[in-house]
Amino acid sequence: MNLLVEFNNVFFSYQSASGKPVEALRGITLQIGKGEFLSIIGRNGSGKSTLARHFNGLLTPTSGEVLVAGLSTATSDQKQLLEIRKRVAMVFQNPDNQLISSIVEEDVAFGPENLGVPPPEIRKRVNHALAALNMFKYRREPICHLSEGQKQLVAIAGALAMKPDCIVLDEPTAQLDPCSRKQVLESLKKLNRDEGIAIVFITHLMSEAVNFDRVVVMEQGEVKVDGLPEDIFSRVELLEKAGLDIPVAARLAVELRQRGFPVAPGILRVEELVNSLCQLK
Amino acid sequence: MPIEIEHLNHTYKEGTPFARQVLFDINLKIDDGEFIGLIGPSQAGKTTLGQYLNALFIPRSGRVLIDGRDTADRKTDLVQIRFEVGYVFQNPEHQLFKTTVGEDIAFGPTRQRCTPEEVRERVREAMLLVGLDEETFYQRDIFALSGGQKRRAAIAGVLACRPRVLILDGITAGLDPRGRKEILDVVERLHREREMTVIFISHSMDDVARLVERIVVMDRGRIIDDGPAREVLARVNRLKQIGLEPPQVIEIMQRLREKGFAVPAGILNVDEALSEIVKALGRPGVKESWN
Amino acid sequence: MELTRDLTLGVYLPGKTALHCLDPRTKIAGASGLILLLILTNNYAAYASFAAFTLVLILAAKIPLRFALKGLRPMLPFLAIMWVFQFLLQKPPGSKVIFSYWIFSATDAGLHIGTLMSIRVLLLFLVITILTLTTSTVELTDGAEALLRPLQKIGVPAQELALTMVIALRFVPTLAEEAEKIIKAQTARGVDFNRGNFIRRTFKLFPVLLPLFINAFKRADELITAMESRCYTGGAGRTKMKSLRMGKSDYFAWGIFAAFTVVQVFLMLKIGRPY
Repeated sequence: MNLLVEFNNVFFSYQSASGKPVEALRGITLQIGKGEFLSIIGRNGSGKSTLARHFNGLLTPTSGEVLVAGLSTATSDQKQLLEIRKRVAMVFQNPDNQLISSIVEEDVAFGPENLGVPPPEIRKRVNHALAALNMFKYRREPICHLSEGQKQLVAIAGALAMKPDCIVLDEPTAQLDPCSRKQVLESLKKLNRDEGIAIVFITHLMSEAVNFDRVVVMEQGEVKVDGLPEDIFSRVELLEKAGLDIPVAARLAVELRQRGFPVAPGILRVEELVNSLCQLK
Repeated sequence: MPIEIEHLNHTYKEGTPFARQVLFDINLKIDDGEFIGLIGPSQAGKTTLGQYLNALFIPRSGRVLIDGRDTADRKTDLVQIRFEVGYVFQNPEHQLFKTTVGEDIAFGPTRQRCTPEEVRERVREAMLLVGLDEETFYQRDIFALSGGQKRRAAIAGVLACRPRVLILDGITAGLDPRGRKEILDVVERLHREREMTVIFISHSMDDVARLVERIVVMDRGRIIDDGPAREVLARVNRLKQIGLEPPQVIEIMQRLREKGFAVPAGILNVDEALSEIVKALGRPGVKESWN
Repeated sequence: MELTRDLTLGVYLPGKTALHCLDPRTKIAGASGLILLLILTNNYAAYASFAAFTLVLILAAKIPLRFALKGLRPMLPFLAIMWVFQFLLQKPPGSKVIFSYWIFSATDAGLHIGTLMSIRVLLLFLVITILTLTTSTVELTDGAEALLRPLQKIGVPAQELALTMVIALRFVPTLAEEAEKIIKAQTARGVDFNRGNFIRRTFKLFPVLLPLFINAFKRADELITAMESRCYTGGAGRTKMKSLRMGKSDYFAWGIFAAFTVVQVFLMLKIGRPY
């Protein structure tokens, strides 16, 4: 089957600190297929982090269901949950709070060790994962010597070593500087391309979401739009209402078109805008 | 209140096997009322340098003069300097330590030995400046605040000391676009209404481009550029070389210039860019080269 | 202000010396043995010989001596207090009283006891520091787990305990940095941690501890979530990428330890207590 993860009309509520019930997810229906490369974008409070935690059963729906490779995440069967978490690995926002060990390669080995993988195979997976993220030469380094960006790459390597079908990343670049952010994005692109692993990238930055094949916009616990980046970014009012910024290039393109210039539609990036304007010269 | 830094060097864990030099021969002069952006990639030394400005670090090599006072001089009252040079940290939870908002903001002025009426006045003023409604938030527990509210409370706590210099270190980190806009609005208002010297430390070029008049660029412990914002930002290639992303507007205008468009350098905001592009293209729909 | 600069406990200094490459079981058992010897040591000569042995270990591990000794500095005030109490309160039978006041009586025995105890604590700290500087946290916990494994039969959760140790040690530098940030943030607001007497200074640390604890709990929470996501379900069924194997250098080290023990026991029995 080509469907990795299915959300079927998922609702999720919880009790806030003041005792009021909060509906964090409302009627989410979503399908993630094998090898997809998508981004989920929304501002703080839109429900995207809550959604992330439903992918591998950290949270389970109040109503509706989440299926991973046909298995429901709302199960009390440990084995089933493990199977789900083997297929959908997660990387979190704070690099420090997801790294267990003090040494790079030993942390990457943590996942496979938990799965009872035979030691020689673990070694192979660890080396492969680190190489895939260009971190192989740091394998014996103490983690506290790495930059925040490098720590995130180690966390991703740790997820990769579990041989998942899909990696869900919950705002992994929020605390990183632009250079590290680029590194992470490029690594993820490579993983998707070379290993066929589905990537679900959660962010609040349009400039990052632009890089993905499919964008899901969340606002107030609902999926507002789900489609190609080019289609999303022309819906300027919708994005503004959702509290998101539009890439400058996209906005300029829209404004120029509104003033009657035949600028190509669906422009997202600087190069695209420049090329299109050159045509008009 | 001018600040001067002369030949400053800094080594972390000096004298241990983990020693690492992070500042190399820093020279900097900050005049009264300037609005400076201190930018650079992570690990460039921005925070370290920032913390010399309020005497959290005392120079072992080089000199730091705050309003003429040498911070390395034993006679200098460092606590007083910290009231005059306010420092807002990236994580507000590190700076808030009283139970309620009002108590916390009042901490500074109380330490400065203000009378109770003065304290109350300053707290009111500070809350107004950051946009925290006094009635709603004065009695509120710090724990009950949202992230954005905590940030404002932390800034208010520093403002209540009436500093003449304000250092904001990475205060937009991790915020979503709306949160960023809100906090930057506060900063803009502060500089305008209070005429303080403001030093804004960040690695986000978009934030900096929006606000500041002068930009100091750091990379690997050295200052590699220092000048008016428009000029520094226009040196796009240098910024890219050290791993910073120039604001998109600047990038777009640069590329257009490279392709022969008659658009000026130093454009920082989208609306200006729009009108310049329109000018350069001539009338819409007419496939004619600009003149 | 750089509080974590001289922190040596929990820090790992990578290297390839003989000491670094020993099996962690050897090192942990060895350190425990040394500590036991230390507790039994009762005279200056034996301590001198122990100190010499410790010095040899430090040099063999290529640890800069200044660095190792600097780590002792934070302990000195506590040792001073302890020494004073021992001096003024210890009154073993047969000792000569130097002066007395109220409940306090200073004896010559108290003098020796205080001094010996201080030396003991310093050397103990050095031994533990040498252990953590030359052994990565994962090695430490692998070693501890392997040593505890026989106890699993009587219900000791060796693997879980080991993991607890890993995480605790891994977060010592992280939390120390966090504490430093909090102290700096509060200093920037006008708190002066250096002013005031000992009691006032201690009280000033409470507003630091609160955010630190909350931060630690938050980290623990996130870490648990991450561990669950990485399929951690406890010790059962886990494999280990690296396995421990004793080698020639370990047997050699055991030999040295045995020889040293003989020397120490000889010194302890032959010379005896100084009071």
